[in-house]
Amino acid sequence: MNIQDPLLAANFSVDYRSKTSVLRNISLRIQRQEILGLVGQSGSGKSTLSLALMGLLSSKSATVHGEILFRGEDLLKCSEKGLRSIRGKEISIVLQSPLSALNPALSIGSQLAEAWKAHEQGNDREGQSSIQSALTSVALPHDKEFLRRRPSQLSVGQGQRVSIAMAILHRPALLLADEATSALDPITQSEILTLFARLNRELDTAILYISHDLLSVAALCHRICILHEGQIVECGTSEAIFGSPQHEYTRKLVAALPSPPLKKTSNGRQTQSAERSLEEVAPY
Amino acid sequence: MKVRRALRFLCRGALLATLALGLFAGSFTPYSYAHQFRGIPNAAPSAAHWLGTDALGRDLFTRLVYGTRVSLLLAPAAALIASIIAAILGAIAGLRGGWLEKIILACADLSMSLPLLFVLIALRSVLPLDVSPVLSVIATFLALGLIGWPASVRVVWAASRDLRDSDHLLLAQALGYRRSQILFHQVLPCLRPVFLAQFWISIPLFILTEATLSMLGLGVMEPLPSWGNLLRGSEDFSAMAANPWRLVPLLVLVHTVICFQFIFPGSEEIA
Repeated sequence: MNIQDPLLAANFSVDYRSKTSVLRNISLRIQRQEILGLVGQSGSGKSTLSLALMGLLSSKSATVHGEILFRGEDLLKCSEKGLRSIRGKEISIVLQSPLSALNPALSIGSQLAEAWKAHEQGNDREGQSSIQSALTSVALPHDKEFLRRRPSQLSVGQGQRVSIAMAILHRPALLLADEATSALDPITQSEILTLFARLNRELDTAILYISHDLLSVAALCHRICILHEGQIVECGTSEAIFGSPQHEYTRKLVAALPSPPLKKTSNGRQTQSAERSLEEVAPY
Repeated sequence: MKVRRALRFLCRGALLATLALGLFAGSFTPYSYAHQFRGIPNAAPSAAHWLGTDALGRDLFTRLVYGTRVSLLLAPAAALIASIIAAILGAIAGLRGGWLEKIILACADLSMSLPLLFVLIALRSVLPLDVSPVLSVIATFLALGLIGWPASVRVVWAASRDLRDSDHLLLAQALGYRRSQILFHQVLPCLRPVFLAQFWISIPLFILTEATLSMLGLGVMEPLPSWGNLLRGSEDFSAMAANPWRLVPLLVLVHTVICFQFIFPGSEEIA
């Protein structure tokens, strides 16, 4: 496989038994170390797309047509055993709500240990070392007291960091972040975005960042794709998407971005307190 | 809340004491449960026979403590059988879904629509009436265990179905967990509280069902005692009024069933 070849090249459609053409002619290219943003409104098929890339749609009575080439290998032709060896090790995922994604009955330490054992047969010391390294990467402590905690004893931000630590434990080449910051408050959201950018730099992990929030996508991603009613209607750099949106839906998205609040100046006139320029939301 | 907590500890202590009474029955009484003092049938309580004797001259206290062993050890065994069947079928139905789920739930619904007591009587009547006491005990509690699962299946199925659609199971699959890892390290820890709850609430139910069967003469056979067959004849109110100590097995039975209801924290305490 050529080093110039994309890490992931996918052309596919998805039909559910109860609803056909949920995703139509999806064409995605993700390069190594790239952060690609995927923006779409609720119900546009974002989560279906991420599950299709992980090969997890068969249990949801869905059919995927086409090809999903990961490092040149078609995932749609992989056996379940082959897919299992890729999931979590080569392609990993971070889900929207950490408190529902983490098992409420298990301690954080047990969950991280299970994620490690899924792909490694080494002794516990190696596992502990990997877990410590992953927790350090996401700026979490790795002492026994923390590892004994249950998900219900964590803040949402800490929970999402644990989810990310589980996802990067085996240093995957591609990380899918499916609405990974949507359930977070703005400050935690910003911290997690910074974390994604750092992981991308330090671990060379490519990231598919899926969100309905165009601003957070623009703040993080090198390129942005717009998903609308099951189709990718536009792809481009954030400058292109914000500066000259081609598709009508993209124009609506950009126009719908919230304006900063107004404040009164000393002479009594109203002005924008912090005008947000494109530079501010330019790629990280 | 404090009263409830105190009651809980009291009930746990009382249950442990009752269990100890049954387990170490031989230490509490010098007699055998089958030994007949033919000279003193239907005797009143005395220093030698704390609860008197029955019509055959057998010491009632001795029969009560040995009956406690039978009822209090075998009801949990039957509850364990029923809970394991319910756990396996409920988990398969909830986690697999599809046609298997429909078949299992249909079987559970069908079983629940049958009157449990009549089914047990019908099953028990298959065995001859002069069956050995040990075999009667095994048959009674095995029957209870084998047909007492349907209500628990519904509960385990509901919990498993929620788990099937949960994000953490999806994440486990997405992180490449092996099937054994998902089953033993993801699913079981989540379902364990449901299994335990079903097990505990089945025990008093089975104690009562055994008592009913034995009162009807279809449960544990004489001379082996159980709480149920100690209560045979209690429908004769005039005899009971004349010999009120004969009601002690009933009091022990009621007290044990009540204790089982109070040994766990209430939902408002957990919250």
